[in-house]
Amino acid sequence: MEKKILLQVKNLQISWLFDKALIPIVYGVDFNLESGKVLGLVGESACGKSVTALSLLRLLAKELKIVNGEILFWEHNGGETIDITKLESRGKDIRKIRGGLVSMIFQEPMSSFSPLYTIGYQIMEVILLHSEISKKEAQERTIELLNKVGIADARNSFKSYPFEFSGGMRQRAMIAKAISCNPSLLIADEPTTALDVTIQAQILNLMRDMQHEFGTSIIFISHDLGVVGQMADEIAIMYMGKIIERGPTKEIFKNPNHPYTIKLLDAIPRLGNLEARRRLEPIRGSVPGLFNRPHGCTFNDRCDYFMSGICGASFPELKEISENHFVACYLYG
Amino acid sequence: MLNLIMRRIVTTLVTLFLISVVAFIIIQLPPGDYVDAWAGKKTQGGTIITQAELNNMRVRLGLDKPLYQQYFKWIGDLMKGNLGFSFEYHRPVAEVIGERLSMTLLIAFSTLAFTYILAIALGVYSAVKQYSIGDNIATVLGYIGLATPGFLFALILMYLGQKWFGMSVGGLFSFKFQGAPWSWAKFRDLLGHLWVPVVVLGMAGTAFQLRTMRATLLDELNKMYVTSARSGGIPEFNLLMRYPVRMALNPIVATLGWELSKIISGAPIIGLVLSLPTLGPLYITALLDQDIYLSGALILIYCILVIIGTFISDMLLMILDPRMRMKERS
Ligand SMILES: Nc1ncnc2c1ncn2[C@@H]1O[C@H](COP(=O)(O)OP(=O)(O)OP(=O)(O)O)[C@@H](O)[C@H]1O
Ligand SMILES: [Mg+2]
Repeated sequence: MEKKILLQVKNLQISWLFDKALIPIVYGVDFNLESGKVLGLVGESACGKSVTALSLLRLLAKELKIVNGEILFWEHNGGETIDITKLESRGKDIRKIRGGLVSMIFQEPMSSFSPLYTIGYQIMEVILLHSEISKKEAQERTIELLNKVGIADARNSFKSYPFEFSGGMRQRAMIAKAISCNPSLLIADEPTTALDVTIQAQILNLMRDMQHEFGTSIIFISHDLGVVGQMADEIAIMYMGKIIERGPTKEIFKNPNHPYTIKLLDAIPRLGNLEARRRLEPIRGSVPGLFNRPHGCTFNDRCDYFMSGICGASFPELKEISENHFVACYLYG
Repeated sequence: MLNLIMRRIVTTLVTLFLISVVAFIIIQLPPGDYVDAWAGKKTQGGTIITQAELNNMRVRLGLDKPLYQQYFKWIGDLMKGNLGFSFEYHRPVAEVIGERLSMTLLIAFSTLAFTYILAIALGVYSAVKQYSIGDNIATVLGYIGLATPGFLFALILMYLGQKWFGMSVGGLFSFKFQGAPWSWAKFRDLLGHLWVPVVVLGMAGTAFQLRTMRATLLDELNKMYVTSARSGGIPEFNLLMRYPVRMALNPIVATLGWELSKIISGAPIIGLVLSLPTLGPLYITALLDQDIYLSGALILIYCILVIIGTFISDMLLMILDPRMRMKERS
């Protein structure tokens, strides 16, 4: 099958407008996503995963601004290419994309539905916005979707309020809402972080099934490399607002290159480690705050391979070291 | 819903009974009774009254009986729908109140409507356009509204009305319409006067509810469910009204009964200053004259109004928030 690019993010930079100064949060993110593929975006807390995700749909808070870069979205049946950064964030064009072509699942299933409306209403609302069908048909379609995501007694659940659902059921309902208009891209921002492990596995399976059935592309965000490994075709590792390594999932797991990626992989508990009674190695130090971004490579103050005079000077470019495998580190060329 | 209404009626009746006892005791608390107050006024005018005359009068009015007997006579009459007799006006209390009650209700509920419509509209604007010029103006006006006593504002309005427009802003009707039968012109005249007490009485409440609305909505606007709803592509205005605004209505709707009671308790003084044909001025003179049945009836009416306000507020909350309905059901 011919590769079809769906989304291309180029040098995306997002800053926080704080007291008239611009504090960088996302500092140059690049990635491509092909149709039907799953991209995993991994990084520690506060590295800018959610901010990146929200910017793709122009849902950023008022005080956050896209200061540079492009977000190119290929609309395949129409054949048009849209630069999402150029759209009006409260305008009509982005609204057509939201929920229709691109939809999103959030971290907190507890708070991503309004308690004032039924689950059914909140899903149906999106369907009615993006298609020309009657209310009755939209209702039937919603019930069908609830059924599909594994909610028991979908017909009655349609009339349930979010507070009558458990966290796992809400996340299922959220998935139903997200796939309701057959989007070409689904952004899932830590969809399982707030759930316990068995529910987490169920939700991951559900997402995988939906992905196979509809061929939706997914950007799967998590701070857990282990979880992403199960889902993604390709992984991008983010550190302090930058992508520092990117490549096919197998390649990243077998042949990690960036010192940070290596440390992240070491931090995953694995059978081999347990048998050897090896201690899990935490990464030395902690992520510097937004206001003390290190000069040069942002990881340099925690890196075991710090080379003075080189790593402190400027940020290394992403370089392709093998096919489709990119690393931003001075150790590699 | 029906269940709730039934339960409400029962608790309302119990509350009213308790209030009637308390009200009756409070009315009797000041030294002396209606006869003393009446005699005081008469002797000031130079008339000489004998003790025997006073005693006669007490017997005639039933004021010689012990307090509990007076109470049971009053409450017994009330049960039969008889509000008693006003000593001062020499007419049944129901008649004295009748004509003024409708005007009081009109003012109270117009003020409530004014307060909420303005507070919600300005609150939404202020929150959505936080720190804009409009928001800052609303904030300053809000503080002034909160800090100015109503009677002072009424006096200022009367002064300005007189000075700039040469018109009297007191009362509810122009002189020529007083006592005239209802007509379109009289109604228009009423509206022309009504805004003054409404603005004066509603000012503090509007300012307070506006602050609440703005603060709550600012909180709600940043919640996840708003971003989540927005990610579905809902047009911004619908999104705003359906999701965060409706949620932010909760606290201001919950205080509706309380707001009405503030309006009602502010009304007598304002009524006096603006010489309104409402229950307020009547209430103050009835208390001063120790006209017990009249003041007792007025206190009960005020209490019923507050209870109705609370009831409306609870009903609205149940309509607005399904979580309330669930709680009520279980
Ligand atoms: N509205 C905002 N105003 C100011 N700073 C913000 C805002 N939103 C996010 N940030 C900051 O941007 C940085 C990145 O936040 P982001 O939520 O994208 O992190 P994340 O990678 O999603 O972390 P987590 O795994 O905890 O969800 C953080 O330092 C955060 O404090
Ligand atoms: Mg996040």
